[in-house]
Amino acid sequence: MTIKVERDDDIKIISLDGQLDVASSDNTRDGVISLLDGKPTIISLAKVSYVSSSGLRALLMIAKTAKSKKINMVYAAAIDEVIDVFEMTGFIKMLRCVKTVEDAEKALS
Amino acid sequence: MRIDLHPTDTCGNFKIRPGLFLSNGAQIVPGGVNFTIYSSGAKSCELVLFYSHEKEPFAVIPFPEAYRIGSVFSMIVFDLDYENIEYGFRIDGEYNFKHGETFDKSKTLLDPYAKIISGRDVWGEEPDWTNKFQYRSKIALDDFDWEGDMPLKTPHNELIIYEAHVRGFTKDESSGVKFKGTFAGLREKIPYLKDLGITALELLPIFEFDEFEGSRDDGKGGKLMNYWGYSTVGFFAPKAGYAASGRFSMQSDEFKNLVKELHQNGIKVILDVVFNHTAEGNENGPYISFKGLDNNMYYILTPEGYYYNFSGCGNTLNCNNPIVRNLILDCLRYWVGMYHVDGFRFDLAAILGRDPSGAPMANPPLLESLAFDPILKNAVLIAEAWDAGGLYQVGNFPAYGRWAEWNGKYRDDVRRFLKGESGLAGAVASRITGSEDIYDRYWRGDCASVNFITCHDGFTLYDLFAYNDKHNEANGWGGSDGGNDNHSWNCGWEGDIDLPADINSLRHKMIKNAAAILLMSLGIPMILSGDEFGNTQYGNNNPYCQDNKISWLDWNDLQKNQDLFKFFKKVIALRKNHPVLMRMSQGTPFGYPMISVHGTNAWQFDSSPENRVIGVMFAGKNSSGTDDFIYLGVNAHWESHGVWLPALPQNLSWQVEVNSDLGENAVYEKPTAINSAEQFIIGARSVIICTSTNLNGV
Repeated sequence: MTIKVERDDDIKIISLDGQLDVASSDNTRDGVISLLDGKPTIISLAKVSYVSSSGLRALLMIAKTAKSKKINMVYAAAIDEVIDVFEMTGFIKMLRCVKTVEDAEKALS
Repeated sequence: MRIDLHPTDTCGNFKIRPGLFLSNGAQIVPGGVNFTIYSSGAKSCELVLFYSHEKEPFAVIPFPEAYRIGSVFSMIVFDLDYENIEYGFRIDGEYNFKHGETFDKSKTLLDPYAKIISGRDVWGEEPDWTNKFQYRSKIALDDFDWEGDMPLKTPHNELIIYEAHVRGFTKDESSGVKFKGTFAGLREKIPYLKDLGITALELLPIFEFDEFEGSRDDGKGGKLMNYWGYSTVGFFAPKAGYAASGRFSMQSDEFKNLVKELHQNGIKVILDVVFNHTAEGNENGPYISFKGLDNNMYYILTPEGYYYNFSGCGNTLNCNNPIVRNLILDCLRYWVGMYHVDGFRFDLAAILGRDPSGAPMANPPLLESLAFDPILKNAVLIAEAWDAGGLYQVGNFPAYGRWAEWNGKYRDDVRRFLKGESGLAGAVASRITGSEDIYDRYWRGDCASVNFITCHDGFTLYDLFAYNDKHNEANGWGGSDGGNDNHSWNCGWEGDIDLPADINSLRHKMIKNAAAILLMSLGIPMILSGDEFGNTQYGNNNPYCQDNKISWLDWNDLQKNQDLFKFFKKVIALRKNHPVLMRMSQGTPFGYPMISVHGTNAWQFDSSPENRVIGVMFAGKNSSGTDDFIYLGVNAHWESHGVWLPALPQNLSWQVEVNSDLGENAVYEKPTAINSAEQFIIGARSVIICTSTNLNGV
């Protein structure tokens, strides 16, 4: 999994690229959490091709950490297959998700 | 890392150490996975690891002799890619059929404690039959964000059970949900269930089973399947094929979310569980788990080593063997503790009271353990109190004041009475008033009787009044399967083809009569899903194998039969608004008994054989503590009858809430006052419900 900070001014945009599974979820979770510094944050999932059970937990832990730090954070641009997984398992209700990064910017502004 | 989670040995490329002997099955621990299994007759045991869906294992790790305490083998294997691994066990031991020992080290066995199972990931997807390891244990993440959820603590008195099949509930196109036929699809229907008003959802078996077990061609290009699933493969695993996310092995998360959201909407979850037999069948059936573990411990065997068949399904689980008993307890505790389910309905529960030779026991240790288990303390326990070996225990099930029963007598008496048979008024009055002739309240409490008129096993409510005879030809047994004692009546026209309108109206009235009696009866009511909108199975009273439109709910009927839905909703609401019907009333009005039975004349019940009129009045207090009366008037006769309702205290008068004789208008928009100086005429084959209202409108 590649974690990249795409933008870091008034808003932080972090993009993830790869599969979020047991091999990558712990590192992704810790890596993203270490980047949460208080700014409104968008995490782009556009290049995440698959999210496993442990991946769902990593995304949830990131969201919970952001919430506990009172950081305004949103997931954006997940592909349909990933959204389906969120919906099937019900995680969609626990993760704040929007369709595009632009939508996310609007949501955070 | 903790000292006891540190590798101590190596086996090939694997770092290992002795495991957590008290933790059965597979459990993720820091750095690795713990595997524990027990088998008293085993000489040795191997852990077999596969990559997902691969036929051949990538590793076989023998449990070192030092990794064994008693008959328990336990080992931690480090650095496993646990989401992409399937595992099983191979066990070496004696083969002596006559003694019930059937060890076979060539077989890879499913972990009986497997928390998720792959192999049937997507319902109906043809398995690779050349694969020798068909049901494959997987490793599950147990953590879950319950957001404060717990099993619901509402009293059992408030139960209004709705029995449903996960797949059949939303599989049909007409369901309108996104994830049809799955836990996720069911979750989408929660607003509907809430609107209907039920308080508990009872699911036909959801433990992993094989829909291909016994599957056959139906002769029309389709397949007959093991659709109901009363044949367990794994007792700790939710069925993957019932999860939209089963292909990703997320069935556990998906089901937990279903439970969580049902709870958020005040709906309990009850699981129909099958402990009387397993999917391993008899001596010709497959090895899945138990045959290769301790065959003579898990099954009741004849002296020659053959399988007793009290279940009618090939074998009989040896429930009162201490090892099997513990497995069952572990299983139920797991579902309550880890999935927050609220209760269980036990299929053919009489078997649970048989001893290892098959004889019924007076004080069966398993049933006693379940009744007093601390985790199960508030769980609903419902027995189907009979078995296929002829043991019939309705009213006599060893209950310890904890168990409820499916009241088969309720079903039969009410059906016969409604169709107009004579000699049943007395019996039905007893059924409506709590069947205390069967269930002594002192010993059994308020909730021993689960009242039902229909369930998955038999006709739907619509079919009960649409078919005199079962029509099971599609099941492929020449119409020989399914019960013949249906006590059904087709209202004068068999089936639906060219159905005259007046017959259809009569059927609707009969359905409303049944619904009114069911929801006004003391005990716990159970509704079969779809009955509230007239769902049909086309006269099939045993569609256990019909994975098609025969079984799937047709939601178009909800639009077509709005009058039925509206009626069910109303009688459910009436039950919930009158605590006396749930035996939750704080006191009774001065001078009135809580329950009284009447005839055409108030206070004069006529139990003679030809009487078909019953009035039952319940007198209690409503939630604000004021006097509250509700009256059910049933006329099962084919002619109308006038009845005198019992006089109420001076400040109260009767008003009609529902009258099934009024067709589409059976539910009054506004309850209508009754003139107490006149008889109320109950129409032919009709039911009324009246409530008390304050004359001054206070």
